[in-house]
Amino acid sequence: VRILQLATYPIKEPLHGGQIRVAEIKRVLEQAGHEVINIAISEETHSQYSDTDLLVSSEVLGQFVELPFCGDLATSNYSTSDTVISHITQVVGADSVGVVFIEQPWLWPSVKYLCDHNPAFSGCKFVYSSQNIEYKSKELLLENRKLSRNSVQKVVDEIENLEIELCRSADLVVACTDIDALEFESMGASNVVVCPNGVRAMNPATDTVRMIQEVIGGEARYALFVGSAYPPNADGFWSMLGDSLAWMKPNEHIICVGGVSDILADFAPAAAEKNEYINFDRIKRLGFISTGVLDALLDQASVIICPITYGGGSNLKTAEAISSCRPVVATEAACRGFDFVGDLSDFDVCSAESEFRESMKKFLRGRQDYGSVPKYGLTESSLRTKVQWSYTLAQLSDVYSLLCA
Amino acid sequence: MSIISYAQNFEDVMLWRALKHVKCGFYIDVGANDPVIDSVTKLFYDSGWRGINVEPDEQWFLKLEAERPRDINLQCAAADYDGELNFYVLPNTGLSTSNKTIAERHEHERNYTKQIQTVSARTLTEICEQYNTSSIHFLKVDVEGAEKAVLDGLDLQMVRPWIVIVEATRPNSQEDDYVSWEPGLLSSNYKFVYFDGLNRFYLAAEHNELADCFNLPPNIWDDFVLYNMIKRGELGVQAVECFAVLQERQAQLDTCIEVANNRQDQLDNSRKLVEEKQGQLEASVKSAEDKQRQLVESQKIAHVNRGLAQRRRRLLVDVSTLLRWDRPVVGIVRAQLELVRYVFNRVPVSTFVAFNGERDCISIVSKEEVARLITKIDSCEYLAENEDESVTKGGLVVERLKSKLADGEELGVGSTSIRFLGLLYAKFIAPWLPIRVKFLLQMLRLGRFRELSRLALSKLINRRVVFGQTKGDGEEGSAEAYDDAGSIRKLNEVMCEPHALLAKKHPPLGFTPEDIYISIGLDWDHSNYPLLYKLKKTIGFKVVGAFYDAIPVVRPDLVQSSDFSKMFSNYIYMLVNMADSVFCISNFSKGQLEKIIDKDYECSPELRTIYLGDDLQVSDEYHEFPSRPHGERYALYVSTIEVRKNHQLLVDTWVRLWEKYGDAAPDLVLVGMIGWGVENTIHNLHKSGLLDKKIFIYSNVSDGELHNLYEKSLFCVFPSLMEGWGLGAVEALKYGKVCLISSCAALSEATQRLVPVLDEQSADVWVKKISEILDQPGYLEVLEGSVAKGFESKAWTQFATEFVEFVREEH
Repeated sequence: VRILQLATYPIKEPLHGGQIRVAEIKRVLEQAGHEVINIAISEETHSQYSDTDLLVSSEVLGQFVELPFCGDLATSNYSTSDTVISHITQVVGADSVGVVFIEQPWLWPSVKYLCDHNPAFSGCKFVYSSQNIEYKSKELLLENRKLSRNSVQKVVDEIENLEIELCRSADLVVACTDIDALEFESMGASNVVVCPNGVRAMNPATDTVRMIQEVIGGEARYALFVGSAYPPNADGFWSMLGDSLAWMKPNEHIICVGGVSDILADFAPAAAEKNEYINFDRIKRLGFISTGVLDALLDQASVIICPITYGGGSNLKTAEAISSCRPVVATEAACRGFDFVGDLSDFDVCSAESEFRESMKKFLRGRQDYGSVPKYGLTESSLRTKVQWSYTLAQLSDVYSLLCA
Repeated sequence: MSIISYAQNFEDVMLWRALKHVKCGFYIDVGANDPVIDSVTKLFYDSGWRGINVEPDEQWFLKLEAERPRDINLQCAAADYDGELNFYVLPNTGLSTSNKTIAERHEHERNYTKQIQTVSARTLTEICEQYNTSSIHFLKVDVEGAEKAVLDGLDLQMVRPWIVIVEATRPNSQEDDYVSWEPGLLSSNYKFVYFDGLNRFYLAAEHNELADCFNLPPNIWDDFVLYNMIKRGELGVQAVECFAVLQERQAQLDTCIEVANNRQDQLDNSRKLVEEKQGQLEASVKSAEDKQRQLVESQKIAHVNRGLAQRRRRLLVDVSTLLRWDRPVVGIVRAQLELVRYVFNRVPVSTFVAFNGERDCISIVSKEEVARLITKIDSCEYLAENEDESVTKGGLVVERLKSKLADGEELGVGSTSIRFLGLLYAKFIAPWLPIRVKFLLQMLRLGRFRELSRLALSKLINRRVVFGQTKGDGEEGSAEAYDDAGSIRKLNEVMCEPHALLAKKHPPLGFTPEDIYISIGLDWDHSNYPLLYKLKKTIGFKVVGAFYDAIPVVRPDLVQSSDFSKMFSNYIYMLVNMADSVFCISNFSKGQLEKIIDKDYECSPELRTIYLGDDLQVSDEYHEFPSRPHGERYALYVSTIEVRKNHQLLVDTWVRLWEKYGDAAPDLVLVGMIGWGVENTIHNLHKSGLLDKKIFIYSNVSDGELHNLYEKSLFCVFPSLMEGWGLGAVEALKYGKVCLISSCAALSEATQRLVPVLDEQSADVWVKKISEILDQPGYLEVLEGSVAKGFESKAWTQFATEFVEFVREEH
């Protein structure tokens, strides 16, 4: 089956959760023998693109939605433009498309248009895959930004309508969590499967681990915070760790990996300003790094933190933390989709700031049992492999059967 | 066997001598009286005799009846006729008689009362006939003067008693009275044989063989004992019995006494025991006290040992602040100076250390250099050094300002002009606050600037974010971000601890794990705590720090620099994380630090409040004080001139005092460096026209001159908005001066609650209080009296001693 996979971000070098999920779906489908054409209609904020991707400037997108944090909706509005339609048409060519995988609802308008106007799309099946209920996520993101309530509501309504229409039209909806699945069904979806987010199996290189150890130093301890520049990551960080990181000792750090490194300062609450020197002496913002070094950092962390307090979908970083076999402190929101975390060792789920901090301190100052070799029994090891992509996306190997269900 | 004589005058003895051979003889006792006492017949009755007792007195008769059952007891009077007669009874005596005359005489002479009884009268002859007495061995007649009638009533021819014994004297006298009746006896063939002084004995002629029995009076050969004696003996027996009882009682008493004694003994023993126990207890207490003393001694020894250990554990005293200080020492610098002086003089195993100007290296400062430093400060060399900087020796700080003003430079009205700020900063603030600039340079050197600039740039870069997806600093676009080598390099950069590198690059020579590093200076400006922290972690020495106040954190508005506030927060963070113990200058400050620690921090260094000293080190070698323009009556405020010190309130106050009192208002002398945030105050002061007229500002004042200023001041003021202690206020009290203070808790603590506390926000309140001082004679003296009475001064040496003890206790 020839499959078209559409998303609003490139997957050439997948870094954030959405990119990784799309890339992994593509890999599973390809491993099942399908031909997968991936096209990203993307903002220019990423660094690596494929030839099949279309970049859209912020100036262009700015014409569609004025509110911040709404580039995806703007892309949606822009997706029926000639530029986008002709780009997709050109990449797909004349051969017919059997299935269109639409990652998130944003590009549904363009698919709808193509089905009506492009013979290659005639009779194709639609799969709607999303790791969020987008209108809810957007509402949460915008509600505390001192924005006009009306304009926020307008955006939220627009996204909700988009999602409802897609749910009703899709032959299959791939949800990330059971809760999301129910939500999709309530929006009209008739055929929903749940494929939680997952992570790749980690394999830190010995040399890299050794280098990490040298850099960190003997007495230093660190908590690892991996996150994208997704605002709930930064908000959650300050909510759960507090305005002042003076509770950490001078030899304790938080190493931030990923896009969240760049937005932590912006999202710091006003009350944290007076503690700026203390806080940012403790926080080491690393930004984007190789997966090899990330694996080594995961392997050597005293604790991995997942402090996100809101936002939809399941958190890939949580899955990464589960898979790492290192101690984890996470919020309830971060554990969405991982209902079994209660059965894991050294995995604290906290709902309050003080609880979160205390748990972090416990692991930072406790005995350090480093090493990637699982120290847990078979049952727990088996639980931890459930978060890997090979397990979470296994259903999609036989997507055709799913579509016919 | 001895006989018992009951008779009054041994009559029975004499009779017994004559008649003892007669068994069961017979007697007639006329006037028998008592059957025992004084009885002539009792001896015989007891010997088996019997007889007739004639006794008209019923009292005796009844007794006779009772005790002489064998006898014939007749209640009648023996007379010379049978019939009745009047009997005169004298109760309870043997003197009753039928003779009225005698009875009356007794009555008269002895105050007896006679009772007249009519009794039967019988002749002895008739009685003897009645009872057919065949043989009468003796007849005794004792009838108190009626003897003749008795004898007349006896026919001696018919009745022949062997022996007749008759009382022969008048009653109760020795006067013979036998003349009337003796002839009848003699004529009846009776022979007088014996007179015993009371009775006359007559022996019937037919028994003349008994006559010899009356040759001698009673004597020992009669072998008799007197009843009275026996009675006495009985009494004696009774007495003996009583005595025995007494003895028994005595014995009982003795027993009781013994018991009591035993008890007493027991008591004594108990007491002794108690005393012993008491002794033991006292011994125990003493022992406990001894042990306590031993413990104290042990502790002292331990303390000494610790001290010895301490001496082995060298004190590393940081002098970084002092080395860079070129102005009069006040507050924190004073504390550091005095500690350094103490350690220099009294702690042999000590070393002085300091950071270099760049604060990237710490090294040892020689003792010679420290000695020179102390001398330099004590001799006020900095004053001479600063002359080159146009700050005249003790001159007016604002001279230059004034000259600039005189040159026509304008001050902004209502707000400070940039030119004015520039002037202040360049001439006055910058020289004293070079650290701000140095800090930034230091950040650059230490890699911090990169972090700061990164933060700042990040905010600018992030402005590019329009639709919620941030790009960060563009690293995502860098190819090296995705390979391991590039990522490790990034990690190296981010995790880079320049202090760790410096610690490796410039390890302090000779530091050991046994050392105790002490730093109590302006460490946020002159020390490098991150580097020190690394060194401590590496080498293992102890660190003792100081906490003066949290003002930059608690009231950042008072330091007018958010950057400094953040830096100070970081300084406190490092201090409490690095120091093993921290000395605080007041309980107020200690409380502030405890709050900060409780709120956020995960460490608990030992905190101790040690009050600062208050004596000024006045050098004898520096007497010459510059001529000052202020008047003789002035109030003094010794404090850095900065917004926190609230000089503005004093300007407002003095403006009103000037309006109220004119020239009579006291001057206001402000001693201290000009710090930050006072541009408006200086401007207002200049505008008021009081500068150099009523209000004078002096800087670079030596301790000697300050001493002089304190002594001559009228009173002192300290209206500061926030303090950790308030050394200037304490020094004022040291000089016996009243210091009007603000309501800062630390100021009240420092001044021992001896001075008026005024609202630091209200000039009216200050004007009112100062007016009271000026207007009310004696009021100032009363306030000064409280200070003189209550203020407890503390020498700086004491402060340093306590500090070093604190260090030794804790380590």
